[in-house]
Amino acid sequence: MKLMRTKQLEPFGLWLALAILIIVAGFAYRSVSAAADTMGWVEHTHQVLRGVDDVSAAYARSVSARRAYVVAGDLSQLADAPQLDARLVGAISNLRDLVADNPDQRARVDLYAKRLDERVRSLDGAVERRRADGTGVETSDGLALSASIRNIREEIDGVENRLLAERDARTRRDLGTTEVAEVVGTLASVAILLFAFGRLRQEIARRERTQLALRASEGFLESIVENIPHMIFVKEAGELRFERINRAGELLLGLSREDLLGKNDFDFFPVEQAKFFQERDRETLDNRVVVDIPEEPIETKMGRRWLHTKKVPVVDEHGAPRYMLGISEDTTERRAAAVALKTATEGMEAAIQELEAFSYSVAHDLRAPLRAIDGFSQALEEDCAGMLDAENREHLTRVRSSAQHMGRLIDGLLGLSRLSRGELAREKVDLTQLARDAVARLRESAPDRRVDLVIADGLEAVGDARLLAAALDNLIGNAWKFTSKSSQPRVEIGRQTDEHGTVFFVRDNGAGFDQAYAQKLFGAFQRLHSVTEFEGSGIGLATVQRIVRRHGGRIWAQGEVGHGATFYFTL
Amino acid sequence: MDEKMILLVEDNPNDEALTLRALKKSKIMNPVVVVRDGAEALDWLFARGQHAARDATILPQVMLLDLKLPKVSGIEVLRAVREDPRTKRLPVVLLTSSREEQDVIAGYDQGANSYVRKPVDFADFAEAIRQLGLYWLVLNEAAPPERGP
Repeated sequence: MKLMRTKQLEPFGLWLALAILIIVAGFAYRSVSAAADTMGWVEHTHQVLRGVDDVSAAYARSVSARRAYVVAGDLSQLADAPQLDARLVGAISNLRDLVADNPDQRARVDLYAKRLDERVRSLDGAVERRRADGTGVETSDGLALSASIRNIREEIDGVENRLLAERDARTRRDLGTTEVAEVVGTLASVAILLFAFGRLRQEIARRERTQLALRASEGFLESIVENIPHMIFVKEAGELRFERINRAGELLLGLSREDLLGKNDFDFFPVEQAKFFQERDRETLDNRVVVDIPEEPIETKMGRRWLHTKKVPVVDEHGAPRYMLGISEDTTERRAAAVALKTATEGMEAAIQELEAFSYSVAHDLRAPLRAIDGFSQALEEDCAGMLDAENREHLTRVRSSAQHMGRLIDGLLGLSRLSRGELAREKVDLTQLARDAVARLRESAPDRRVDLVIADGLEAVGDARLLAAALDNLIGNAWKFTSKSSQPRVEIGRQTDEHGTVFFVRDNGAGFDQAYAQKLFGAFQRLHSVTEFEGSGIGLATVQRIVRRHGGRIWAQGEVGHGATFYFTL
Repeated sequence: MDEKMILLVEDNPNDEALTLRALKKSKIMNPVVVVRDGAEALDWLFARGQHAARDATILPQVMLLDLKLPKVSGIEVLRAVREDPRTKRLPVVLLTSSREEQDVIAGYDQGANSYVRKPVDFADFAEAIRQLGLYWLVLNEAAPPERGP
């Protein structure tokens, strides 16, 4: 699975935290090293104080060794005096070195050393006097010196102690600042890290959601591809090996995807077929076009099937073909049905042609004998007029009218069969005008009849003018005929709109019919009135229905015996 | 033979008798030659076969030609007549009981001068024959007979 390119994490927080930590560390280092410096100086001060103590102690021993002799005549300690003096000189030299950095203190130390030396010299004088005269008394000068020495020492100690206090305070200040900086810096870093961590967790959660969604969407697409009831297959563009196939494809070919994937057409199909498939594949890939193969035979484990296949090139971002996607619909059954339908249609067309040939014979061959019956009856009528009585002549008239009626029946039947043939013209037809023409012909045929005729204006339809004229002739002719016995005959031709859309109608107030027989009206040779009552062939409404149906319309009738009839039709 | 002759091509004896009666009733006294099928009609016109002895230069004033004939159909007769230089201007009236459109169109395509449907009503039929006779025998000026080379 190809991973989605990861979005760069926003690094600002982490960088900030790192920067703050570095600054804090630098700051801490600086203050710690400053504190260490200061602490060095504190130590130095302690050394100086110790140096002062050492000098003082050495001085005290040098003094007491001498005083023991001067005051008590004790000689035992006096012998150690040179050694003690040397130690005092060493301690003073050490102290001098320690305060070398501080000129004021150096001056004091020098004064201190001078006074010490003076006191020791003074005591030496006392020692000499004791040896000489046994009066071991120190001079008042020596006592004054002692007080001065104490003062100087206190001064030196005071300076050093002040320095010590200052340096201690500085160290504490430095360490305090470091502490604050460390606490603040650490807190800031922790806060930033917590924030960055939060963001990271959010980012991880977001990415997890995205991946879940991606997986869900892949699963969705996968299940769609799997469930499409047409074979879907993908071949790679190089060697045309199968990369994908869906369940419908496995079922169609009778091969599992484990069998198919990684192989090509030559592994499964006869050479000619495999060649054909691959040629089409190349055509698709080379020309980057969708190739449509409406009828493609394929040999499967279940025998030959017929497919309607479309092959689609799949290109990469540079437009180079990568995959060939194929979609095949199994049209085997539909094809068989189409063949069956074609056979049936051909059979039907043959039957219709036969019927037409039959109609043609009927037209020609049945009319000829009728002509003879009528013609020779008339000849008899004319030639034997004197020999025939009224009844004989009546018989001949019946023969002739029957022959003529049959002639009209045949004409009607042929007219009906002619309606089924020929192209249906589609043009704008002015039904109002056609109705007026029909009425005009009727008025001409029976100039004495008075019929109240109402024809709506603007009746228009799209259809075959010749056929629609024939239909209106029939409907209006019927209305004309069946109102012949009405006292105030009225015929209305109009239009209304209802759930069927535009409905045309022809209404009369004539003889009407029983609604129970309404469906029979439209059958050929169906008549609801006797010929003696209203003459007619019984073919007219069948003709009208045929015309309306050929226009894709519908016709129906409403009537009541003695109260007229209305014929409705749509086109 | 100056008389204007009528050639009737009709296989149905009833129709023949009725046509002759209608002509007679209409006072058309011109001689009528009757042939029974298309082949005989052509033999007669071109003086061959059983009519070989006939003078082929004598043509009828009008030919009444039934469409539906044994052997050679009316349309085929008409085509042969129009193709032959001797008869190509011969007035031909198609007589038939069929009103089928293809007959009408085929008839005019082959150069029929007129087309009359035989009605069942004899009175109508007689009237149609009378008008035909009047027009083709009295009013119409026939084209002069074509002379052979």
